[in-house]
Amino acid sequence: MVFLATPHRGSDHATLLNNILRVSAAHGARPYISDLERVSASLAKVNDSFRHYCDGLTLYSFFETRELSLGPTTSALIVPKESAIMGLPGERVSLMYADHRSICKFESPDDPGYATLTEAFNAINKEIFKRSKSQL
Amino acid sequence: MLRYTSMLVSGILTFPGVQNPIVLVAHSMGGIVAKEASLLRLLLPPLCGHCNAGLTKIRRGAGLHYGTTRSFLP
Repeated sequence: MVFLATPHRGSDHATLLNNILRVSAAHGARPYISDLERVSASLAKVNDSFRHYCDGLTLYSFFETRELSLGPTTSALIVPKESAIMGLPGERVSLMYADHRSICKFESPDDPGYATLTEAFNAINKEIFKRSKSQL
Repeated sequence: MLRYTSMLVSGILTFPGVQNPIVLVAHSMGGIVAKEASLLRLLLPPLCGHCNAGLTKIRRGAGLHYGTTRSFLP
C-alpha cells in the first residue's frame, strides 16, 4: 500500500474546512471531515486496528514538503510529515517535492516525484515477484 | 464501519501473472479508506472508490488503473 500525503493523524485544516462549511448555507459541517481533525477518535481507532492487520503488507508513506496555495497571501502544508507517517515497523517513508494537490499529479516523466514513485513501484514489483517465486 | 467508501482511492497497480498482485496507491483521504478497508479484510479492495472498477475487472489485469486522467501518469 502506497500512501501519498494521507492524514493518518489528522490535519489542522480539517477543522478550518469544517468551520467554513458550517457557516455555509449550502453545505454544513461534514462528519467525515470531523473525523480528520487532529484529535479524532475515529482516526485513532482505525490506526490502532490497522497496526494489527498490516503484517505482510508493504507500506510506503510519502509526505508533502511544499505549501499549498490557499489564497493570494496564504499557503500551508495540508498534511504535515508527522501526520503523513504511521510509524509502523517496516514502513518506508520518503518525501516528495510537491504540495498536497500535486503530490499525485505529475507534469512529465521527468518530474522528480514521478521518478520517486516509479522507484517505489519497482521496489514493490521486485518484492512481489520474490514472494511469488518463494511460494512456488 | 466503512464510512469512507465513496471517497477517492486513487489508483490500483496490478502485476499480471502474479498472485495477489494489487498494490493500492492512495492519495490523502483515500489512504484512510484503504486502511479501513483492510481492517475488514477487503484488501484487495472490492471497488475503486473513484471510478467503481470492480475487483473482477482489476483481476483481469487493468494495469495501472487510475482515477483521474491527471493522476500518476503524465
